[in-house]
Amino acid sequence: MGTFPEKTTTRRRQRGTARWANDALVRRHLCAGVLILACILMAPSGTAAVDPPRQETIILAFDADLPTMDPHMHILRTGVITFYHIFDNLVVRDLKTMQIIPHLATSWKTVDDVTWEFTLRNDVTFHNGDKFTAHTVKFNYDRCLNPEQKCPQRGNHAKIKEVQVVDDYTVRFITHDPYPIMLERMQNFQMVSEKVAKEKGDAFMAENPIGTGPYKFVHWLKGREILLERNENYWGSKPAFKYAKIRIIPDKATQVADLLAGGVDLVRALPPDQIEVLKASGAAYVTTAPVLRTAFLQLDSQGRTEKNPFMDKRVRQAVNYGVNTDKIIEFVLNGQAKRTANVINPLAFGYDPNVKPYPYDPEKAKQLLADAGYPNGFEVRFLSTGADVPAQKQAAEVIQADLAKIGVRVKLNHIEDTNSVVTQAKEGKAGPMFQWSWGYYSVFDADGILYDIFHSGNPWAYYSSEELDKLIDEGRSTLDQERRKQIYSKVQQILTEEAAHLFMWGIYGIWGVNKRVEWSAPSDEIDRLFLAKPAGK
Amino acid sequence: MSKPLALRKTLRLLWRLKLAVVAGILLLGIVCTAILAAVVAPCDPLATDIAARLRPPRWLEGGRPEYLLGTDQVGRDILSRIIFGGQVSLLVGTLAVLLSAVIGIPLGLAAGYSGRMADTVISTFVNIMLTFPFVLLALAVIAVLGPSFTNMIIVLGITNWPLYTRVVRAEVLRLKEREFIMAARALGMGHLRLIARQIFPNLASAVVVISSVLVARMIILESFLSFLGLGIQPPTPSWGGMLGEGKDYMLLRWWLATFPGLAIFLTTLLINLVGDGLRDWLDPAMHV
Amino acid sequence: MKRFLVHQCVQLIVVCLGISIITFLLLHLKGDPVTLLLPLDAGKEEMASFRRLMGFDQPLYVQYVRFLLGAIRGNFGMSLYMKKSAFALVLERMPATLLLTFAGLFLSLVLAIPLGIISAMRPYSLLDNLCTTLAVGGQAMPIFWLGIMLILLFSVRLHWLPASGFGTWSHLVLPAMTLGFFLVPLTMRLVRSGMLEVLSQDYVRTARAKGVSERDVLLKHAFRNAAIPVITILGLQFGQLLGGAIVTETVYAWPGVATFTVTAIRNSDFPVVQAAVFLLALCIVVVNLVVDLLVGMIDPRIRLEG
Repeated sequence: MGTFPEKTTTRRRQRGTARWANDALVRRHLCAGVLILACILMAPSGTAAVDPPRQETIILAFDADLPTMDPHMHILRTGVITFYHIFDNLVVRDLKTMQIIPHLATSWKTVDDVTWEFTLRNDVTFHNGDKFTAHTVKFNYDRCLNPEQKCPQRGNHAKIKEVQVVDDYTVRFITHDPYPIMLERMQNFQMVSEKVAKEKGDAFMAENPIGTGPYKFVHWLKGREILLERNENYWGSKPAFKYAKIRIIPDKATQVADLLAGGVDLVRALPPDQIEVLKASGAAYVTTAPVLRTAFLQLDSQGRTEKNPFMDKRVRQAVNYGVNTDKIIEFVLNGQAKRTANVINPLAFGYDPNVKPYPYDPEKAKQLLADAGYPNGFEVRFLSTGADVPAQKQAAEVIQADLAKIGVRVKLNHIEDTNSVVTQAKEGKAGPMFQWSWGYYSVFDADGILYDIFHSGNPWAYYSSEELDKLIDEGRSTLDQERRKQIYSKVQQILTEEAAHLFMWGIYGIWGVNKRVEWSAPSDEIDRLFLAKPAGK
Repeated sequence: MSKPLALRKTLRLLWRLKLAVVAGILLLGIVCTAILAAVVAPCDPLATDIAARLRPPRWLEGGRPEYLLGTDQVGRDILSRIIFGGQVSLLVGTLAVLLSAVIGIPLGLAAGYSGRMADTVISTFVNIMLTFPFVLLALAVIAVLGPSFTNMIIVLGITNWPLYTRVVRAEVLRLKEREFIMAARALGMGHLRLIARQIFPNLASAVVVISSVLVARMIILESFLSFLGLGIQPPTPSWGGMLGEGKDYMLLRWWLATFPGLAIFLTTLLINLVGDGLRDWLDPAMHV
Repeated sequence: MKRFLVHQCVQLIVVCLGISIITFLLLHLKGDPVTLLLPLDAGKEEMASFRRLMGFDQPLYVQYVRFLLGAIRGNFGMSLYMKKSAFALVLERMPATLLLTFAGLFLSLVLAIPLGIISAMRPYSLLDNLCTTLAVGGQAMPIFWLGIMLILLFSVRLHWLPASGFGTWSHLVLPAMTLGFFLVPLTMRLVRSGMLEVLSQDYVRTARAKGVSERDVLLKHAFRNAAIPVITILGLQFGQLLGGAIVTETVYAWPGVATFTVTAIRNSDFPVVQAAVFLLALCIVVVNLVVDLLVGMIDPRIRLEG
C-alpha cells in the first residue's frame, strides 16, 4: 500500500547538525516540555465559569453570537431577545391581546398631532442601583438619534424630533410629523443607564449590560454562552427560573440533538421537517404561532439591476399564477404558514382579508406570457438565500420546478450567506428575482413594511409608483386609524393587482421545547424566557 | 520471452492483484452507469413530487414502489439522483485532478530540473500553498467567483497542485543523478527531449498513485464545500450536495444522506484499490 | 544547527508574507463591507465618508502596506463588527481550537499506530484488508456525518455525553473522536507501509537472527524508523486539519477560531480574517518546525548529514 516516498527524500536536506539533540538530558527536557504544554492546553480554557444547577436553569439556543451587549448598537433579532431580559422598554406587547400595554411608562396621551406625553413608573432602579427617571428616557433617545453614535437603529426612531423632560417622571416626545406607529417602535427600544453610559463609556457598555429588567447579566463567554440571573429586586413579576442561559450552537441539527439530549430547553426557528422528529422522540414538543415575518420573491419591475421581463405587469402576474403556493405550504411547510395576497401580514394593522391571493392557474399564466411576447417563456436568474424563511431552499426548488412548467426557466443561485444578498439588494444588484422576507421590526402595522419595501428612494424598493408613494406617505402621517385602514386597503388592492412581487406567505414561528418546560410561542418572535415555567408546576 | 510464457506471467500477476482487478471491474461498472445515467435511472432526477416528499426506501413502511431508495425533501427519487450525481461527482473529481496535474507536474519538472533559483522559488510557493488552509482559500475564492460547477473545479484544482509538484520534483532530483541521464546528456541529447523521453516515463508510477488518491479526495472535498454551502447549485444532483442537504435529516430520515454516503464510500474504496493495484503493477519488483 | 534555524525563520517569514498577500487580495476582491457596517438607512454620502474614514477608497497596495506596517507591530486593527482588537479576539479563541486539534491528534495516534503495526505484521491477510477498508472508509466519510452519528448515539440515545458545548472533559470527547477519526486512515496506512518497508530490510533480519524477540524487533527497531514518515506527514496534515476543525467546531458548537474565521470571511471582517490566517499559519509553521526537530532527533542519518 502506498507511501509518499517523496516526503522522506525531500526532508534529507543539508542541515546544521542537531548534535545537541543527541544528549539524553536535552531529550528528556524536551519531552517534559511537550507534556507540560499538553497539560496547559488540556485544562479547559476560559474563565472559571459559574455553572448554575440544571433544574434552576432554562436554556435557549442561538445560531450565532451577538456582536455586542449594548442594546442600541445592533439590529439583530437575537439581540432584541437577549436585551428584553436584561433591559426594559417604555411599553411592551401583551401576547394575549397583541395590544401595546404599559411597562416602564404607566400611561400616555397625545397632546396634539406631533406631541406625546408619557407618565413613568417611579419605583424602577437599574441593576447597579441607579434610578430610572425621565432624564434616563431623554438620554437614551438622544444617544440613539445622535449621528456620531452611529446607532444602527437610528432610522427606526428618526421621526422623533425631540424629547423633553417635564418632571422627574413625565416626559414629552415631539415628532417631526404625525407618527402613528410611535408606540410600536417604542416597544423595541431598551433603556440603558445614563450614569453608566456617561461614566464608563461605550466600550464598557459593549460588554457589561446594566438594565432594569427581570434578569441580571452574569457573564458572556464569547462564542459560547450568555448567562443571566434572576433580578430579585425586579419591579414586575419575577421569572420562574432562577437562571437563564443562552447557548451559541451554530448547527441546527445539533440544536435539535441537544434538545433531545437535554442540553437545551428551547430551540427557535425549528425547520418544519423536524416537527416529526420531536414528536417521535417523546423528549420534546413543538409549539407554533403565526408571526409577522412575511416571505416573498422580489421582482425587479424597476429594472434596477438590468432590463428584464418582470418590467411587464403581465409577466409578473403570470409567475404568480404559475406557482402552486398552496401546495407548497401544505406539503413543504406541513401547513405551517398563512398564504398572503401580498406582503401585508394578517397580524398587521391594516390587513384587508378581502384582497384575495392569486389562484394556481398555469394555463392562464402561459396565456399571459404569450400576450406579453414570451410564447416560449424565458430564462431568469433567481437569487435564493435562507433569509429567515423556514424550508426556503426546498420552496425555492419547487418554485423553480413549477415555473419550468409554464416555460420560465429559472437558474437558481443559492447563497447561504444572507449578508451577501442583503448587500447586493441594497446596491440594486439583486434582480431580476430574489428571495426576501421582512420582520416588520415587530411593528404590527402595515407601515412596518410598506415604507421600507415600496417607497421610491429606499434601497430595498424594487417596485414603486407615484400613486403608491402618495398613499404610503398619507398612511404614515395621520393618526386617524379609520382613514389609515382605508388607505392600506387601497394599497393592498394595488399591490396584488399589479403583482408587484411573487407573493408567498406569512411565516409561522416554530419552536421546539423540552418537556420539562412549559412555554408557548410568541407571535412577535421575541422569546421571553421570563414567561417560562417548569412543567407541571 | 516466448508469447505463452509472457501471457502466463501476466495472468499470474493479475491473480496476485485480484483485489485490484475486481475493484477495477466494479469501478468500470460505476463509471458506465454514470455515463449511461439517462438510460439507467428510473426517474428524472429533477422531477419534484412534493406530495411524495421524504418517503422512505421501498422496503420500509411508507415507501413507494417507484422510489426504490426513497425520496428527498422535495420529492425527487434518490436512486436516480445518485446515478446522475455520479456523473457530476466523477467529472468534478477527474477534471480537478487533471487541472492539478497540468499545473503541478510542469512546475515539479521545472523545480527539479532547472537550477537552484527556479527550485527555491517554486518550492517556497509550494510551502506557502501547503501551509495555507484549503478551506479558507476555497471560501474566499468562491465568495469572489460565486458557487458553480466550473468554479469548484478551479478551486479544487488550484489548491491541490502542490502535491504533484512535490512528488515530481523529488523524483526528478533522484533521476537526475542516475547514470543513464548523465550518459544521455554526454551524448548531446537536448533538455526537452531528455525530459520527454527519459524522465517523464519514470514519473508514471508516482503520478498514478497521487492521481488515484486525489480523485477520491476531490470527491470528498466537493461534499465538504457543499456542507459550507459553496457547492454545486441546486437542483443539479451531486453526491456531496445530497450529503450536505441530507445531514439535517439524519435524526429520522436517514436515507437522504446515507445512500449518497455509501456511493462516495464505495467509489473511493474502489479508486484507491485500483490505484494501489496499478502502482504494484508498475513496480518492477512485482514482476519477479 | 544555527543555519537550520535561520533557514526555518526565513521560510516562516516568507510563507507568512505570501499568505497575508493572498488573503488580502482575495478579501478585497470580495468588496468592502461598508453596506453591512452602517445603519440600513445610511445614504450614499454617509457610505462614501465612512469609506474614506476606513481607508477603503485607497488603492489596494496602499491599503496593504498600511496593514503590513501595523501587523509587524502586532496590530491587526479593530474587528469591524465587535469593535475590539482583531488580534485579541482571535487569540481568545485559539486555545479551544488547539486543544481540539491536539486531542484529536492524540486519539488518532492511539488508534492508528496499533492498527498499522498489526496490519504490517500480516500483510494481505483478512485482518489487513479489513484495516485497509476501514482506512479508506474513514477517508471517505464526511466529518459532519460522523459527528451527527456520534451525537445521536452517545448523547441522544445513551445520554453518556453532552451533545455540544465546551467546558469539561466530557465535552471534549466526542469532538476529539470525530476529528481524530478523520486522521486515522492516512496515519495507519503510513505506519503500515513504513513498517513493511523496514521489516524487509537486512538489519531486521540480522536482529531476528541474533535472537532479538519479535516484540523488540517491531517496537524498538522497525517502528522507530517507520515513525519518520508518519511524523513528517502529521506535520503537513496539521494544515489540513483546519478543514476538519471547521466542521467539527460547527457541529459541536465548539468555540474555536476556525468557525470564527469562517464567519469573519462571510462578514468581510478583514482585520479578523488577516489576524486569524496569520496566527494559524504561524502555528502550522511552528508545528512543522517541531516535526523537523523530532525527526532529526529520531533519525541520526538526517542529523549527521549536517
